Amino acid sequence: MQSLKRRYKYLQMLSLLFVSVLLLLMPFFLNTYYVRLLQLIGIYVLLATGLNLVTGYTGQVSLGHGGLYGIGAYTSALLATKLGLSFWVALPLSILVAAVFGVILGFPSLRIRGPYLAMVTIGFGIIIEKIMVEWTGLTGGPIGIMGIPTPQIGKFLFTGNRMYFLILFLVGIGLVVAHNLINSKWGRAFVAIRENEIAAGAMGINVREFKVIAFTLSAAYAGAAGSLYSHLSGYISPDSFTFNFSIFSLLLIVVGGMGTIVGPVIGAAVLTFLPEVLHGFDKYRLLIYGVLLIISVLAMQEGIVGLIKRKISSNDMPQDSNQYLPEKKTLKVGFLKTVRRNFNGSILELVNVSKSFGGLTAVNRLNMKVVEGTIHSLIGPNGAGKSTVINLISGFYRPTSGEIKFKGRVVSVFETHIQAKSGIARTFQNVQLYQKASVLDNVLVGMHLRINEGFWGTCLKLPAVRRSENLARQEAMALLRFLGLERYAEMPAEKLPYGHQKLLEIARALALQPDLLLLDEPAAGLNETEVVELAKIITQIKEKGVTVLLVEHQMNLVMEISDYITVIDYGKKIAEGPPEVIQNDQTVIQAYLGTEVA
Amino acid sequence: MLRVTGLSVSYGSVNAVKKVSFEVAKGEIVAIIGSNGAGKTTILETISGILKPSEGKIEYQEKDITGQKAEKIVRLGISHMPEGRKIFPDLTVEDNLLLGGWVRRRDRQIIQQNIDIVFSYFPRLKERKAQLAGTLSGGEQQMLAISRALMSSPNVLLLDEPSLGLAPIMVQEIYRIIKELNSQGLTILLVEQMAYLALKVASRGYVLENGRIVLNGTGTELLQNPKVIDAYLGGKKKNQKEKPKEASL
Repeated sequence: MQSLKRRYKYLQMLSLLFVSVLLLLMPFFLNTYYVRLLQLIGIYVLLATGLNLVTGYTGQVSLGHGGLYGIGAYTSALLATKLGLSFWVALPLSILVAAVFGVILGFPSLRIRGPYLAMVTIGFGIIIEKIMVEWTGLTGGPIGIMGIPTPQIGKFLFTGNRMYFLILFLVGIGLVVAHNLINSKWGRAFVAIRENEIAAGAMGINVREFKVIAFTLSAAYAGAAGSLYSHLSGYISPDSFTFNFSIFSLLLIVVGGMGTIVGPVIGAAVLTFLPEVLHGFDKYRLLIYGVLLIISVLAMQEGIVGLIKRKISSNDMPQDSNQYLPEKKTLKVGFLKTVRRNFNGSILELVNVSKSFGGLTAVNRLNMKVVEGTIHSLIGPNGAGKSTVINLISGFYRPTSGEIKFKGRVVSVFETHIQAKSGIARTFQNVQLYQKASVLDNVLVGMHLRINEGFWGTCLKLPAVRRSENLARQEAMALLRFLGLERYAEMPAEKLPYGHQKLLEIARALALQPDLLLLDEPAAGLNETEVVELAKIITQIKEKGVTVLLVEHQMNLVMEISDYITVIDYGKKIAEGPPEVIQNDQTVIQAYLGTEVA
Repeated sequence: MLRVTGLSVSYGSVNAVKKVSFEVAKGEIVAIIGSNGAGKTTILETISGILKPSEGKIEYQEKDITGQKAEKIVRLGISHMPEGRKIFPDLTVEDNLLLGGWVRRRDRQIIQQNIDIVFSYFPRLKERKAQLAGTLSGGEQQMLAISRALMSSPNVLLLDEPSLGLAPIMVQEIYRIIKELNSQGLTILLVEQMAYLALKVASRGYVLENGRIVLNGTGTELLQNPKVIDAYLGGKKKNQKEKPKEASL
């Protein structure tokens, strides 16, 4: 596997080198027409890479990128023609202006999603287009703006091949920055939002903030692309920034492969060259695009890149499934820091907490104290309100009345990412993993709050960022080893068997280094031997100083490891005490344990 | 009733199930046990037509059904309750049930009869029938998943971890219901992590390891087999004195 990975990496480097040399030499052997095509491809690559950040990685479909691209182009054109600013000033300003509009476009994504968001972005694109046409005084109306100067330094004019190299250089930077961001906590946060917003919040990611960041970044790329287009053409008009162009942008990443770095590159190259190859069919260009879109959605959902990947991996994947078997007895822990904490006994306290949904009272005036450093179990019949309690503590719900105290302080804000930040981690009853992301990345998302990777440092991939990334990976691997999942590290989470997905959730939650760990039915889907292992794992977690609140139905587990048990039914506490007491409590036996003896 | 011969299933190039053969006779409860990743769920999903086998044969009532589409297989009388509930969260409880009875939808009487039956098993669902299924608690969703599988009046019921997420008292109830369904003539193929429980109700059982069947026998035989005790019953000897109540669950 290791050598295989190295071989793959080697192959990647080699092809990258080959393509770079080719790109550097190409203009010298091509006529100006083809150089011009290459320049256009470069601009589309920038645009598509940006769109890919927000749509491919973060999962927020935008059909308004034609508008953002237009904003970049017009800003540059106006600054150059009206104020006489040079390209070198106009470019960064265009990026900035487009980014500001990106923030604006990002806001709707906080409230709406899916098709509705797509509609809003379409609206945005159309409004921008209309402004370009109607605001004749500023934009020149349908005629557009002419005489946009070619970039120059002193007397050195960037025409022909020179402009080509300038674009190539900027595209290179754009791709490297995108690559660096994607392989960092930033990119992982984007993917986490795409795969599972609920679980992203629970790991401490401020979902709203990161959605806006994704839109802003994306818009910045569109702005750069637009500015380059302006200065390359020397003339712009609203015709270049229509709704059709927004669809074309989306097509670039869909055909190439969403959520990959090379996808947009391939998409831009194929879709720009294709019409040239089919020169005689110019009239049918849109028709061809339409057909292509249908084909790529139906037949190759991960685009051309996905198609190639599947070819490679199906040949290279090891044949024996045994290699995915978890290692047994790997319970060494070195990563969880034993910390002395002191919250005067109870780390968590629920005082008269109620939660009702419409007419249904799920939790009814519940009082509960969880002592620091213990394993406290919450049990009760199905529908008793256990998961609701977990959801209240972890900030998914706000209590209807009553108060929750954590570490001695009354909780006032109920937001999952804030609770995560304050030291509460959780797992979910119905598995909530980032399905398509690798097992390792799932754990790394859990470390989001602790990984110190600043935005600019990550863009440049400074040594400090590199180090922190390496450290994080090592720690994540240690966590996987702790749960016996090490061998799965590179597999997508969705490929794990159910029981192991639940274990992965524990690894991810531990990655937060929480003070309080909420486990919602961790043993569901494990067989009895695996439950014994789980008991050891939970006990070790406790020994490291983490308080555990456990919701579980497997009584042998609960009775074996709990220090204290609270039993609820219909949202009300019906009993509490140490395991021995609960086991013999008649009310509990009747409501919950049942009487059948083995 | 159901005969599987030399079945292999692979995901890409990973073989999850390797040349597995077993049989379920009419009126039997057969359990498949094994650790996570052994291939239990894969076998059920292949029988019900969700996955296609790479080799082997699946026969139902002496007819080859290998590689048939899932909807066809439900119509033939094999109903599957998937692992992890997979209910339709944005539909009401009642609509979930009606969809379970899709293949019998023309026979309103049978549908109504089936609804009455599952409500008598799970009165909680009747109380919640107008509620969106996604708002049910985990255990209630599990009840719904089982009920939905019963709505098509199957001859063979494939149950993937029916006890998942259920309170002990509910687990006893579910297994009582399983036995009752079985005594009324329903043939059941059961996959279960709680091996002890499964083997107790099963007439026969198979132990799956790394996609291969390594042991088979009657439920009682397997329960006494030291290998099984070691690997799946937590190394615990049954009839152990300590905590008899919980150990059984």
